[in-house]
Amino acid sequence: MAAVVATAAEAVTGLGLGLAATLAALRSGRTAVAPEAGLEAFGVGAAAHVVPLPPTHAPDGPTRVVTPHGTLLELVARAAHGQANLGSVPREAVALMIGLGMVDSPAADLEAAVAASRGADGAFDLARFFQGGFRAIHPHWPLRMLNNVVVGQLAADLDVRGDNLVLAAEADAGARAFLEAREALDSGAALAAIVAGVSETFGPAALLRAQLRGTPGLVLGEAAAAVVLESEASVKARGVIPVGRLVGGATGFEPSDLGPGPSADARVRVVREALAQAGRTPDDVTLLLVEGDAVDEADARRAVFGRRTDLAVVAPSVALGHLTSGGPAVASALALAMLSTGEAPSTARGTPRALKRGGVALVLASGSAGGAAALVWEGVP
Amino acid sequence: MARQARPADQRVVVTGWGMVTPMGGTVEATWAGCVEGRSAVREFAHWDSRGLPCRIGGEVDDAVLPPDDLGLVAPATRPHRLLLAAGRQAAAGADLASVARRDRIAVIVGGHAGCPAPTDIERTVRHVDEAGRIDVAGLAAEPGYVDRNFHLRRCDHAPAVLAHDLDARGGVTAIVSACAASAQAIGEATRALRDGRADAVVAGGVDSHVNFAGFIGFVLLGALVKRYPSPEKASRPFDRRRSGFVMSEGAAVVVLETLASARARGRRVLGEVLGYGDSADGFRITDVHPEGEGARLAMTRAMADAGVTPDEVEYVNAHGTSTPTNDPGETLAIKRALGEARARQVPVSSNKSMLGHTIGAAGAVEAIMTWKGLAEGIVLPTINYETPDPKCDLDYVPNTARRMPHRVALSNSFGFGGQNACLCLGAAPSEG
Repeated sequence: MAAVVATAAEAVTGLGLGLAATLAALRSGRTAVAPEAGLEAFGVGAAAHVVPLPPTHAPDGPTRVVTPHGTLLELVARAAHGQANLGSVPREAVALMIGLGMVDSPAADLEAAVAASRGADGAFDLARFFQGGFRAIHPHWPLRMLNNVVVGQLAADLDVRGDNLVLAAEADAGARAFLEAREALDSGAALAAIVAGVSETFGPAALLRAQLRGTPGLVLGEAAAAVVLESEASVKARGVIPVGRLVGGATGFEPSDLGPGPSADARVRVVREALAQAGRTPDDVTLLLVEGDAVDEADARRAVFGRRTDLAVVAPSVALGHLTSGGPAVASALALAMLSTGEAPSTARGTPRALKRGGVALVLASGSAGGAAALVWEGVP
Repeated sequence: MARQARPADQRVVVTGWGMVTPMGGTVEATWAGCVEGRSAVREFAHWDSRGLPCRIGGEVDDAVLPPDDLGLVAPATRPHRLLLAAGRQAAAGADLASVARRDRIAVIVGGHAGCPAPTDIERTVRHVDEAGRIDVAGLAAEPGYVDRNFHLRRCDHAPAVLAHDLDARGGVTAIVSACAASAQAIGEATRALRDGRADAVVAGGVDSHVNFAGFIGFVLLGALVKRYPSPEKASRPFDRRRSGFVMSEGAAVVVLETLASARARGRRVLGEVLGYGDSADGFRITDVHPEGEGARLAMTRAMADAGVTPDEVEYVNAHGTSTPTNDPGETLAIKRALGEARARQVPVSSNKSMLGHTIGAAGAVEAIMTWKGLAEGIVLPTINYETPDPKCDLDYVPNTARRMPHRVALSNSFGFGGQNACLCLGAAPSEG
């Protein structure tokens, strides 16, 4: 399969409203992870909230549905769309491939219905709920609960009509979105694709799922990122400046015996397949972006790279929290920026590493059900 | 045609299928009921729907499903059981167990996992104070809530359980684009096989919203059927007296591989994916495009991908939801995609008139019904078609199945929210 070209990348994270701001914060050693009252029961006590966001370009209304996921997605996708000047691509040829963290019901949307369903003793009465209490639910609740609605809204906002997919629910799905975009470009179904990943947004269900993934100390983060991918032909025809290339990628599935997530074998397989697609070897990789939350991942890393000391290893989750479906997009955007600036910040209180411009970065991703994924990026020399 | 020009390792075919619907527990049972023009819509029998304005739908017989004890940490949800039932049938039919490279078998499933119960909703709100702060620890201590949230609502969990059950290690993809989801799953599987990224793909869809929380969302949207003389008469796509869709549940799964692979394995070919197209409406989120632009684009792209012209399309399995807005919009889109003259010659029918709307499973259910029709030389009917609607003026195969040999068909799936998918499907290659 041919490589595809990245022509824009943008991110919104707990460290900044933008990719450059996020990278600068990482280089200065800052972290978005902060104590969070009320989470002590989970043995974590911390979270990485996204920075305060500007208002979306139009508010929620009778014909527009705004959700927490949608706000994040719109910010990064609109910015990437602008950076890549996608307005010059026919709207029917612009694809949207989105990895979306789990969508949960905002408690506030349901509160009125629950209140309307309480009996004289104040207790929730299911019969009252069935008999009409539910009608007090916010009218947009059903739409906010449909995972795909944020993408439909984005298509309307950006006026694009190409291929589209909404994939859920963890980082393996976020990586898969890049590979689906590559296939759409390769098959000629699209000329350009906005690939985005959005994390879960904070709420009780998200926190409980984070706990249930079974990784001690897992800190949940909020973030989103978007990368524009295009075919080489489209980039040449439009005269756009590349920011990198996606040269390989693979997914696999095999639950680990050690805990949630894929086995080390599955992780090794996808890395080797992705590198083979790219025509690269492990020795060519100069930058490795890991999730940093599983023994299997560490085992896989050693199996592929041995004990190489010249490999820059970055774990964005240390500073940004665990980003579920948003992780691969954020890591990919950061990788492109690092390959461009020629420096990888340390997320382990070490010193930054110099990177060869035009080098190769490998992004690892996984899902708690057992999915593994790897993406191989090349910087622009 | 381009499909003849594609080499065998680029042609994607079906070698196994499975299905559980309100009509029956297999593809054959569902097909037989649809050929007879029977409705599987009934008054709800398995959950308390008192107080709701619509109390009918399609429910799968529990007897055709595996038990809920699947060895998970919590009882399996309805989507887990539906998907496993259909997936195991498909895998057995394709003899998937004989595929040597398990890391080259992918699973791609469209659907939306389970729904929270009203008690889950109440539990959540019980732990929110007047300032909107959530007492997460208190919520976590609620018996049963934690497991439900983890397993019930994870869209990728049932597909992962299916992959584990079938020992498929080539990656699990969960697509969550509403009613377009499983058509997209089949389409994306087709691309993966053409790209050589897998040796076989288990693709399909599952959904079960025949429960209170699943239902009230659509009640609030005003999308469900509002008036009907009897449950069996409620789903009436393209009929002037249609008043909304009928909720249903089910799962449908196919095993796809290249024609070259099927031949090498000596498998019987059941049908072929000739082409796939999808699109975004890019219109208002709460309305369908008045000229069916997104739907037209999806159909046009599927035909282009297949290398067929409108004159070669002999049947359209419509999305046909029985809602006031979908059916005329889809009619217009078919006319725009095929051309007005050709559209008037091509039979168009909706399986939802008999099965109801299985949401995320609908695209895969209807693809299999379309392949069966291609194999049997039969076009399924649109039942309950009694009063023509001037805005729906095509041949909808009213009420009775039609014997009609055909080789190429389109199957439409349009998602609420603006995602559209179309599969261009072909009969099994005669040499296959």
